[in-house]
Amino acid sequence: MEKVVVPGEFLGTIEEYVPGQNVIEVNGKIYASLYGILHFDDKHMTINIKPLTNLPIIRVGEVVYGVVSELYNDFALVTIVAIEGVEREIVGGKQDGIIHVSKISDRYVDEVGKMFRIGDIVRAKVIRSKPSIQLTTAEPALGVIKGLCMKCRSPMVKMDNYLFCERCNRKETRKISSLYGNIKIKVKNIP
Amino acid sequence: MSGMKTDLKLIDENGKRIDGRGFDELRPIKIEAGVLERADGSAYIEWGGNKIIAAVYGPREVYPKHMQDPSKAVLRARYNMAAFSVDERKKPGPDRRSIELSMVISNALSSVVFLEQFPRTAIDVFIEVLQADAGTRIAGLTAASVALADAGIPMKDLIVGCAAGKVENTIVLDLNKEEDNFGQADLPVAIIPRTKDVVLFQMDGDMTQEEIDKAMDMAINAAMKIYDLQKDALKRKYFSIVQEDEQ
Repeated sequence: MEKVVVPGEFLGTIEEYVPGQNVIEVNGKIYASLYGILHFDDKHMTINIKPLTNLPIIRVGEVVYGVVSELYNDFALVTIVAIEGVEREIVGGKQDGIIHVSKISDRYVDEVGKMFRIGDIVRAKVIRSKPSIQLTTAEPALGVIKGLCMKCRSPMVKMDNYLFCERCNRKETRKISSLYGNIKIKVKNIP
Repeated sequence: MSGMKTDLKLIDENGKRIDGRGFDELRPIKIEAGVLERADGSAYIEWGGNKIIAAVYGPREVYPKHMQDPSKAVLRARYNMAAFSVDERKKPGPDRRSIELSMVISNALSSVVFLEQFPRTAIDVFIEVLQADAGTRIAGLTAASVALADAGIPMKDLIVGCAAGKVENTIVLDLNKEEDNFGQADLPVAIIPRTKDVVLFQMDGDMTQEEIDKAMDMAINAAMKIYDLQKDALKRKYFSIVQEDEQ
């Protein structure tokens, strides 16, 4: 049976275990600092707490959703609004992430503006979180999930390897995600 | 509080209080964690006639922006009494009393939350008193700390409190409304249960040094009992989730 602990609960002493994640050590005694499930790692002799509610913090490996806000010569700036699978507001609110040209696609990209345009909604993966958030879209399921037409700003539909605006009869190139148009993002409390 | 002269006998010949309790007995307390769907963490407490909901949001972006602190999170508690929470309609909105209580509750909670872990963010705690029956600040604070834990916010410990006071020259625990209004003193105390550090301490009325010491001891002993109820509430919440998943 799993053991649930609450903040401040006594777990053991430092002679028995090494304090691991989400615990605090005071005068040789280990206490819980989080509401979660207790794990004794007997291999490393550590004591950890797995949180019951994960705080939405942008970590390496997490898949995030954002809006392209600025384009530069060698990178695109994305405002991250949500983390995949988490409804709760990101800790600290919206944050900026950077997608470097080299990380946009598996192939060679000569211009950021051919792959992203301002206002596009992208699905990206975090590859670095400090000192700045670096993202990548170099995977089939990553990339633009909703693109807006440059001329009329209406959403475009996905064709084979380009996006098509039905209003202006125009083609546009993007780094398109295989999930284009098939994603519903559920987030609460966005101001 | 008001010190009105009444014929009300707060303690009878047998040493029983107006609601039949002994001088060191608590009112019945019920705590529930995770009662609200939209909030990140929440708790509900029934303490005698008190009915209070606490909700926690965050850590989230700070608005207004000038309140943000680059070194740590700001914890903002808001204590609010519903218009229908007392016998006579309470004018809605913050008043002198609730602004002060919001401040002392914020300070108490700030002392246990690891605010340094979330720089430039705000943790908002809302305490809504639906029905008041004396001792709401302590009941609200007790619920708020359960709500913070429920929200997954790292803390040193929970916070728990209890009030004691002086009624007809006897020190009694956990005053009810009549005793609060017509008694001689009210002394709310909140502690960190592990270290017994005092994080909230106020007094309304007059007491001697010895009386305060005695009241403090009683309040702290009672608070440790309430601490068990807090722990139980959080553990119950987890097991109810597990049971739902199994079905």
